[in-house]
Amino acid sequence: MSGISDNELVARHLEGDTRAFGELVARYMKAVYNFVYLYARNEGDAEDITQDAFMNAWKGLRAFDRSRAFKPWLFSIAKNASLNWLKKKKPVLFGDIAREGGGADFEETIPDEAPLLEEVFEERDLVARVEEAMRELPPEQQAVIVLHHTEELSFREIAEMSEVSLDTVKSRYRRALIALRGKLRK
Amino acid sequence: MQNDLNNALQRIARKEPSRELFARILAQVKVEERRGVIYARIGVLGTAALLSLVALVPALRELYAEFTQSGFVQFLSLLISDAGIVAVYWQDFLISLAEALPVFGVAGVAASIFVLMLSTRYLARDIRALSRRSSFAL
Repeated sequence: MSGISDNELVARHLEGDTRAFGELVARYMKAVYNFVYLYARNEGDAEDITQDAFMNAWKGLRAFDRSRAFKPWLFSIAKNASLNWLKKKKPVLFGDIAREGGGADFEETIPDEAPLLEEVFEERDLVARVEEAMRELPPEQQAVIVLHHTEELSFREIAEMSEVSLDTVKSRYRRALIALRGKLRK
Repeated sequence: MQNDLNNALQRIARKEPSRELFARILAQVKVEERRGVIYARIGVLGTAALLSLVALVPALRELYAEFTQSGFVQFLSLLISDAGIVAVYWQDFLISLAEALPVFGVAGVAASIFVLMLSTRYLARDIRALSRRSSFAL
């Protein structure tokens, strides 16, 4: 099944081939997982969102327009699943944080990130520094970087799946690169 | 700098999901497929039950009309009024009774009741299966 195109697998799935959807999951599970991780920021939630994304894709395959590319469509579903998850996730209310016996305020319990960044910037490996810098970018900028460089989607495909204009995608990409360069120069 | 950055972006480490995630996704697909089959079956069975219930009304009316027209009831009442004669000519009596039986009417009512009972039985089973599955969290 490895040499078969995505849209051919979709066609086979719709014709009743039970292995076809499994092949699509195997192809894109890691990519979708890494994409939704940008929103979830932890492994457990990222796995749950990945599962939701693939279930939504499975349910939507009958309506999928096979004249379009499958990958951007799948990532748009993953993005919507991530945004739905974020909406459901309860915000942490500062007033709900119980004070400890010593009366420590919540703000005082936020770890000081400066030493962590210093330790990271001491590393010589550019990739590790880029990864660290990436985490500080807003999710939509991280998404453009990941989708363009790692998943090799074109800006047009990213714009289509994100339901924004091409110029918006290019602008996010430019801002992300400027921010990364700025962080790496420090 | 740009080339180094581009190369680094290409090589960003990708996290590995757990080994169970793939199996969980496919297991949930199977659950949803079975759920879809059950829903389709509930639709068919529900329709069959409803149609058989609706068909039962005219079937019963038809049976009543055939009973009154065929003389079956009159023959049957001989068992009470002339039991002695029936006992003597019991074979002829049975043949006459069978000939007077409104077969089509009885068959129509029996078929409606049979479909109604069968579809209701399997409908209840599928509804129970659905409520059991929805209590399982994946």
